[in-house]
Amino acid sequence: MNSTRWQVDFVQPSKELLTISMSGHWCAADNLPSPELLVEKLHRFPNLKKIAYHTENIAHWDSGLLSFIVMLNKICRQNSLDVSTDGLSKNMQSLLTLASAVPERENTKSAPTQSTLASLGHHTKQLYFEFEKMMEFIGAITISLSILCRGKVKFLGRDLFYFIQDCSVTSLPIVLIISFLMGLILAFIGAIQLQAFGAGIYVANLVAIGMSREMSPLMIAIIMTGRTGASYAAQLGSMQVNEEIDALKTTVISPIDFLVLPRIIALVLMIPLLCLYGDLVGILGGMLISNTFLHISASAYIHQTTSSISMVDVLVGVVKSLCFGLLVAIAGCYQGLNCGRSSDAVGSATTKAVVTGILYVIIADAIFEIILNILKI
Amino acid sequence: MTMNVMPIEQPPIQVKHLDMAYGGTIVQKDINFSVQKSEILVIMGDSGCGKSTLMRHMVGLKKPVAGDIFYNNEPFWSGGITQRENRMRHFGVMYQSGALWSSMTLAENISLPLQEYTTLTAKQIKEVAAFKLSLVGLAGYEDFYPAEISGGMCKRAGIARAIALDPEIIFFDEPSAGLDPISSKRLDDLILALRDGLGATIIVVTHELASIFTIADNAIFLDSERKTLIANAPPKELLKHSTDAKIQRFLTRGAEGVIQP
Ligand SMILES: Nc1ncnc2c1ncn2[C@@H]1O[C@H](COP(=O)(O)OP(=O)(O)OP(=O)(O)O)[C@@H](O)[C@H]1O
Ligand SMILES: [Mg+2]
Repeated sequence: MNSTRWQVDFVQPSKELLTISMSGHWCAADNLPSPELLVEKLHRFPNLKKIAYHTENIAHWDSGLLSFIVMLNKICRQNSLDVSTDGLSKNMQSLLTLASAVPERENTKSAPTQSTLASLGHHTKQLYFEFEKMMEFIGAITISLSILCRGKVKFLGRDLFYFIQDCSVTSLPIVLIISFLMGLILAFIGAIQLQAFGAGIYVANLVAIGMSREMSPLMIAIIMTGRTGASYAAQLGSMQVNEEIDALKTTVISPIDFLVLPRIIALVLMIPLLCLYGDLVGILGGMLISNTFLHISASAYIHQTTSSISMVDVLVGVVKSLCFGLLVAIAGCYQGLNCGRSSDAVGSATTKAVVTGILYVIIADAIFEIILNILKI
Repeated sequence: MTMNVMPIEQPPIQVKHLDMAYGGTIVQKDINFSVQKSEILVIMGDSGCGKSTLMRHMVGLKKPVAGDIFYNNEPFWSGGITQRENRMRHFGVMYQSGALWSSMTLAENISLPLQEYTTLTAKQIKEVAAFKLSLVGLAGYEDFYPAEISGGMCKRAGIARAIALDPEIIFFDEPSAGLDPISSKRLDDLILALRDGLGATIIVVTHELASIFTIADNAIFLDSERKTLIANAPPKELLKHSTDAKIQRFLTRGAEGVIQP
């Protein structure tokens, strides 16, 4: 191998001509020399006018050699030297001709370098556009909903059924586990504190009110963001990539009517039920802890729970989760429909759907707390 | 045709001073041409010159930077959205990638526009869908999902969907790319039959020389370097009379000119 290793010699038959003579193995994997080699030589021979190649002794070559030659040619052009390709074999020449047949596109992609201030301004503007687009999207959903309310169903019943199933039955196991554990954790924290005051039985109040007003809607909204919001974004995003959404548009079927509405309706209808289910399972989790650690009997726990929790608490939770469900579905669908046209874009749309979904939910929760506080509910 | 729910109109299409761009990057400038009723127009040009982009402008997916398209003398983009959507109902569009709705079977893909815009019964819709599939050589594939068929078959199913409503104007983006010669020939026959039988106006993006010379009544040539339309004539005339080296090379598969760096 070593004996046939690539070799390059620079021969100068006359003052104006430089012959680049290559021999041995010239494959990309052979750790080929850098074309910068030539630049050095050029400095040494300032009177050069022409470059020629000599390649007869090359034993083996692949595109490694060709890209080397292309780079050399480029350097020659930059130094306004003539290049004679006569010394190249016929196969090399034809490949090189093909490579240069279509001129390289100028300013293919320009990434303008911006000052910090300019990029800050750019991002702020982008944020504003994003907000505007979001508002447009919400407006379009509202219009579609009003059309639906007038009895014009424009999506497939089958789709709605599928999404409802996906938001309900299929989500139950994860909701079960998380809610049960949430109830358990709440009860644990409460038990340690309340027992110190001999008020262990109030664990039931803590769990019931804590779950129904706050933890259940919030946790379920977060679960559904990761589960359903993300899948909405991925589904719509890949439809965007495949031009399926364009195909809907040119068939004059609104993607909002056909794709977004059934998804939103399914999640908004089902998430309150999941929330109620979560309340129940959480209370059971609390009961388990009270029973094993505080030795509160099941009947006493249930009695305490029913006397502490009011319809209002449950309703607050349900209304919250309705609202969260809407936000999660909107975030997912919005990101999906505004996805770029690559598989990469689908990934980032999914991530964005989850991040924005959770953000919206937390912000909405805070707003709810403030309003409920003012209204003293 | 009983299924033709739209009133038949004269659709001369006129594209006037159309400028197209993505972001700030101009794709094509100052495009002017018109299409007569029941004419087959071929859009030619090198890969990446903006043929699909031109189609996206003509079917209402992308707003031009300047200029407009006139259908029956009505501006397409400067008019309102309702007007545009009414116009779009008369279009059938086949996408370069097929763009079938992946959650639906082939039959459902074709049925959806029918359900939306005709008063046919479910049984009639099923029959029409089966018929359209058989037109593109996909009889018996009604219940297949797009993921279960090959790329060329997806393309053909996309064609079947584009002609589901017997539209007045049909847009095909590279319908024969990726098809075998026989399917490709059948497709030419289908395009001619759609024009002759239904009087459809057809706009086809294609590189297939054989098919260009068989079907085209007229052709336009977009150039990616000059970024504008450089020819507008029937392809046979272009071949005979055009002095533009690029067009000559294109129409003769590069035989005439030498490939030059
Ligand atoms: N979504 C996009 N964003 C930015 N630039 C785009 C986008 N789509 C296409 N382009 C650019 O617009 C130009 C025209 O693209 P277009 O898809 O219309 O080409 P085409 O003529 O259909 O090519 P082909 O024959 O390969 O299908 C290309 O140079 C491409 O880089
Ligand atoms: Mg294209």
